[in-house]
Amino acid sequence: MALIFDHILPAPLADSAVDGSFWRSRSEVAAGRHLAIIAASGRGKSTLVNIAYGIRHDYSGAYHIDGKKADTLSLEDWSLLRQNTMSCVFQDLKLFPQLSARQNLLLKCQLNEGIKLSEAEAMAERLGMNAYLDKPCGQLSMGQQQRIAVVRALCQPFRYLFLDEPTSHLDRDNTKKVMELVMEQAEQQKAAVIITGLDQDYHLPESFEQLTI
Amino acid sequence: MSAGAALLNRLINSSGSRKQLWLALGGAFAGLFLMGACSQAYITFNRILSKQKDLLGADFLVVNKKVSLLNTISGSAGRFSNEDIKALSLLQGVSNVGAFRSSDFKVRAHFQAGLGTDIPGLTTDLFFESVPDGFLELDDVHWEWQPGDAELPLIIPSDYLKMYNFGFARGQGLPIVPESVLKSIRFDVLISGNGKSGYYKAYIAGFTERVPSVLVPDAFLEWANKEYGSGSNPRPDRLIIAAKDPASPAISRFFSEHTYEIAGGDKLKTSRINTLLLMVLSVVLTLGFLVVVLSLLGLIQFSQILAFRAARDIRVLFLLGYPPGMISAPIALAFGRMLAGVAVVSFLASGMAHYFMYRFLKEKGFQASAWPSWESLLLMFLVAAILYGYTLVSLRRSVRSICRE
Repeated sequence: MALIFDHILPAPLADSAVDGSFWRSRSEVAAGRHLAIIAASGRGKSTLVNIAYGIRHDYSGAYHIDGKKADTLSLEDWSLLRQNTMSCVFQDLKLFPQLSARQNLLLKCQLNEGIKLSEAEAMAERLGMNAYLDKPCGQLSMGQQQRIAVVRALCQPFRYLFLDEPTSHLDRDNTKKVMELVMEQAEQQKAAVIITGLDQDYHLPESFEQLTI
Repeated sequence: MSAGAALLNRLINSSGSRKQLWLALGGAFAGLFLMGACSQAYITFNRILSKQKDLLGADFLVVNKKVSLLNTISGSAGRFSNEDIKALSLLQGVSNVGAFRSSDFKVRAHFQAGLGTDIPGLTTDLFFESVPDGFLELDDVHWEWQPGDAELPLIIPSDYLKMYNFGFARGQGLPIVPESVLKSIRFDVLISGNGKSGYYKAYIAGFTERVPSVLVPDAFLEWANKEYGSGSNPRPDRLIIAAKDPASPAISRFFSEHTYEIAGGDKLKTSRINTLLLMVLSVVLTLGFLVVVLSLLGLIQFSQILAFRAARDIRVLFLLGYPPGMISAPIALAFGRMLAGVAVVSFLASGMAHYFMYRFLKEKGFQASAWPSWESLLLMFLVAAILYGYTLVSLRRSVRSICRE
């Protein structure tokens, strides 16, 4: 059970990807592996997350999820994977601005009977967000929205957790809290974590391997 | 209601798209109502008209030559020659021409008084004619005879019964007789000629308004003419013609030029009016169907615009793990409720229209049911279901296409 990136090369990077980098090699991400992809803008960090989460399909090479080739999966297969196997904090967060923070969390909790809204609210409280849960997300600051997006990503069972610059709008203190919560949940679920960022200022545990792309 | 359903319902109720939704639903109502009311009227009129159906189909004509002083003197006395028959067969729209066979023997009928009715004893001379069986619509009539059979079925003009009931019976102070009673009576028929005679038990198998004659099965008359007849084989003086459109101008012109007369011509006109009425109803029914199709296009367009407007939210829900079917379900449910409402209102409106038609028909002396027919309700239900099905398919396609982007 692993994610296998076999000589994946996204169409926009076809000319710029260097031989021997992540893009032109075979990488396997098994449960429990922690990867940090730190690179400058335009190197394909978000592209990698988007390919891994099934948002982008414009690549050559083969991407396997638990033995299944990603490009053979149906829409329903992807939905099931996103309910039980993989979760993501998107760079653009993808919250519903017209819904309150609590409703945004509820939307995710409703997909899995095992996850209660109260657990999500407890996680939000740990990130200092309980006072803002009834506010429409559109009225929250980017940092507050980012924390809600992180909590939402943790409100489900997962074996692969993707975080695309999850703390880009947070101060050091909140970044630390977010990473502690993320790692706690990931360890509980024995999940692989792939995190992207511009620098290494993530308070990353030593278990993280740094990956160059 | 789940948060996802609430979100999508909020989207469907956005004010910008309501106008188009109401327009499409209004169209669906108009179309369903038109179809319901027209199919109801069609079924009602058809039932009324089928009760008046003649044993001679609407597509048949009985013609004879006008009896004039000239052809009486010439001796032809209005009989059709082979050339006449051939000319008629070649006429545009005519598919078959059959000759009437006339009895070539004496016939005397005797009604015995009593027989379970108040009809007085009666003896009368009669004549028989026959037409090829294929020209008669005999679904409910036993119309077979073979040598050795003692019973003889007859078809008589309904005018005979009317003459008895409203002329003779009234004048003589006798009771009137309904068709059903007359059909149950067996009476004696004595046939004689060629030095032979024979008795048959005759009964009235049916009535016709279009053939002014006493009809017997063709097989009987063919046999009886040989048995009791003189052996002469006279040319027919009446023809029965099968035509696609008996009142077509070409046929009318031909008859007029050859001074042919159509038996029961006024009935033919009534039949044409009935056909026209059913045709008009069919046209309005088709119009209703077209309105339904237009409203379907409106609903499909509305569902596509709705999905397009909500594309970002649909995409995000899909990325969160919502399957496409689950995303479209709340919208589908909302559509289903709205269309069900429209269908119920259309059912009620067409039911009311039918009731008004029923009262109108009743005042005019026609028998019709006060309740709408189940066929009409079934049609409306099917059309509403198809409307919903197509909208649903279109909505699901739109949602899946957005998820796939």
